[in-house]
Amino acid sequence: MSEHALLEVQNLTKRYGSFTAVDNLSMTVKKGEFMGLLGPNGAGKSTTLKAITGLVTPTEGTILVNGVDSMNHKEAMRHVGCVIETPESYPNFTPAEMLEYVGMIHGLSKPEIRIRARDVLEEVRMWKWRDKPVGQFSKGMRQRVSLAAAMLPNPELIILDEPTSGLDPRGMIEIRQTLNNLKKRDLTLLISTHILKEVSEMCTSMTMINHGKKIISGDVNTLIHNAAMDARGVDIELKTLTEFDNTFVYDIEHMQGVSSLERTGEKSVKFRFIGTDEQQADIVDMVYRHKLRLLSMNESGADIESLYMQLTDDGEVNVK
Amino acid sequence: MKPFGKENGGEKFDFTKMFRKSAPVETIKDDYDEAERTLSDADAHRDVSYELPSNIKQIWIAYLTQMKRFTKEKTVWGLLVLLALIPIIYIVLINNLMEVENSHVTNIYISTCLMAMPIISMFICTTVCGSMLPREYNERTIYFSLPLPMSRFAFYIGKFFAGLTLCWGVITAAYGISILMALMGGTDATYSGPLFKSLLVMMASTFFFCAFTYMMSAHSKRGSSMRAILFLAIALPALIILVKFLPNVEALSSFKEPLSALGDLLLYLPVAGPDLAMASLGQPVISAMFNMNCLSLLAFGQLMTPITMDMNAIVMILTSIVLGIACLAGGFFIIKRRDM
Repeated sequence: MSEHALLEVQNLTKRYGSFTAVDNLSMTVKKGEFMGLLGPNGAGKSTTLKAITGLVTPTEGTILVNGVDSMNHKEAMRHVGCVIETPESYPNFTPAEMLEYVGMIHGLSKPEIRIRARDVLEEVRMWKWRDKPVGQFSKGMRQRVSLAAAMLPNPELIILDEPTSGLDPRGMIEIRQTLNNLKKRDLTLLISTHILKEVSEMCTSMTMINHGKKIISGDVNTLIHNAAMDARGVDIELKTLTEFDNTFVYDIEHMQGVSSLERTGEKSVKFRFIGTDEQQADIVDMVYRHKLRLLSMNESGADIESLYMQLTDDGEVNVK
Repeated sequence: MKPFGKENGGEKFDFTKMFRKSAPVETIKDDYDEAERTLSDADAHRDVSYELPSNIKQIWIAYLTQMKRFTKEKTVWGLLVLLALIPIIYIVLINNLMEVENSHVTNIYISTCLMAMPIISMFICTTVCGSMLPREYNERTIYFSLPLPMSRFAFYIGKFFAGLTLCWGVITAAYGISILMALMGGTDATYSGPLFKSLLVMMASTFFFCAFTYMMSAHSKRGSSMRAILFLAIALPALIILVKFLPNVEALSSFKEPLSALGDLLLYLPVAGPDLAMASLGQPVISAMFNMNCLSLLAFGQLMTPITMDMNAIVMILTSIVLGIACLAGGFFIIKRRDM
């Protein structure tokens, strides 16, 4: 088991007859990480999370939660709170009653349940409706009750399967705000999603899967940057404080990694760059050699959409 | 709550309301409680970790939760209405329309009140226990419960015991109401031994019906109770009749004794338990005609031994318990392996 790993999935395989939903997948979620499990529809994200939470039995592989095999020891799941497959609460129960049920299963006493229920319902903005039947709630409200139930026993790891799925824009914003609050509390989260913005804005690390196989895994920003460098590069706009002449433009155009250069003003140029960090630093040195003062050097095009399209198109990647 | 009756200042009871379509339930619009959080980290116990309770305790929690679910649903109230129908059926149908022999004897009086109990018990068991698991799948509430740190066994068996409690409660209450009616009706000659035997046999059979239906529902998503009722009320009794009839076939005359013995043995299948429970009370023929099981058996009354109070109740009880446990184990085997 890796150091500080809260969740370790080792060689997970799940077959349904002749169809392989997850194929030899291994991944680790470290303490404090906010990991996104990204992939297109049918990639195997939900199956992976269901295997982790015990809803399906893996064909092969091991799942360790805090070092304990969760497939054979269900008590390992006491460290985990999860919202999988859009679960529904009992429609005639109130949020308070649902949380009481969850709390008792986790071993909380009744006074403890009351304290924790207040905290988590306030967190998800549902305290006002704690005594209303869940059957009367909208989808977003029911989703928030499920999230509250996942947070109730102070889990170390929270697993969410497409938490903003089916919600209206405000619902999505509220869920994301809640998740960001959880991130600030140094909780560990694993969310599956096919919404790229959620990964790029909220996650610190990600694992991308497709056709049941892991394609790539690592720090989000590093993966995006490196993949962009390997593929079509990034667009850079360079601005200086003072005007420059064509000699500077010529020198920049002939630097390693620079292509498609276009002068956009007296003090700015735009170009495509595919190269290493050292080569990018050389461009900055060139600015100073021309005795110019660098105002800004903004990179664009290195985004998660590009990474996603590249990886799900050909399924191959060359990551440095 | 205002008392009924205009003279008390309350609302007049509107009988027709029961038959009108109820107004749609108001859906709370998606809104957000903008109030600030009131608890600090320490007050909210955000850093406290908890110890899981034992498996037994978790079974109890699953049981209590299911019982709570029952109380919040119309199922329970429907079953109570069914109970209340027992004296009405007796008073309206039997008392006014026909003469029941020996009805001054408490046990006969009770068995007449409970004349439909064999089929009703089957219906109650298949309705209650046959729908619990499929409802969890259909309503997606199973995705709420199964990821919790609770074994599937605790979830499975806790819910079963809740369903069984409800069924036993209804049946025991039916017996209680019938005994009360008998005492109020001024009957004499109460035989408490057969009465107790009848109740035990009925409860054991109910256990089997619940377990059987629960097992069948374990792999079903739709939760149709009809399959279980068809099997218990028609298919199995038909098998018993067939086996009882076979010794009379000329071609099988050399197997007459073993087939007769097999037929007598099959009468101890729990499906015949409620009939034995009624027969133990000395059920009159008139009541037996209303019992679907007995109807199928008594139609061939000349050809076989009907269920009588001479049958060994202990064997019936033990058979019901053993087969019920086997059904529960089978159902758990299905649930344990099922991918959600």
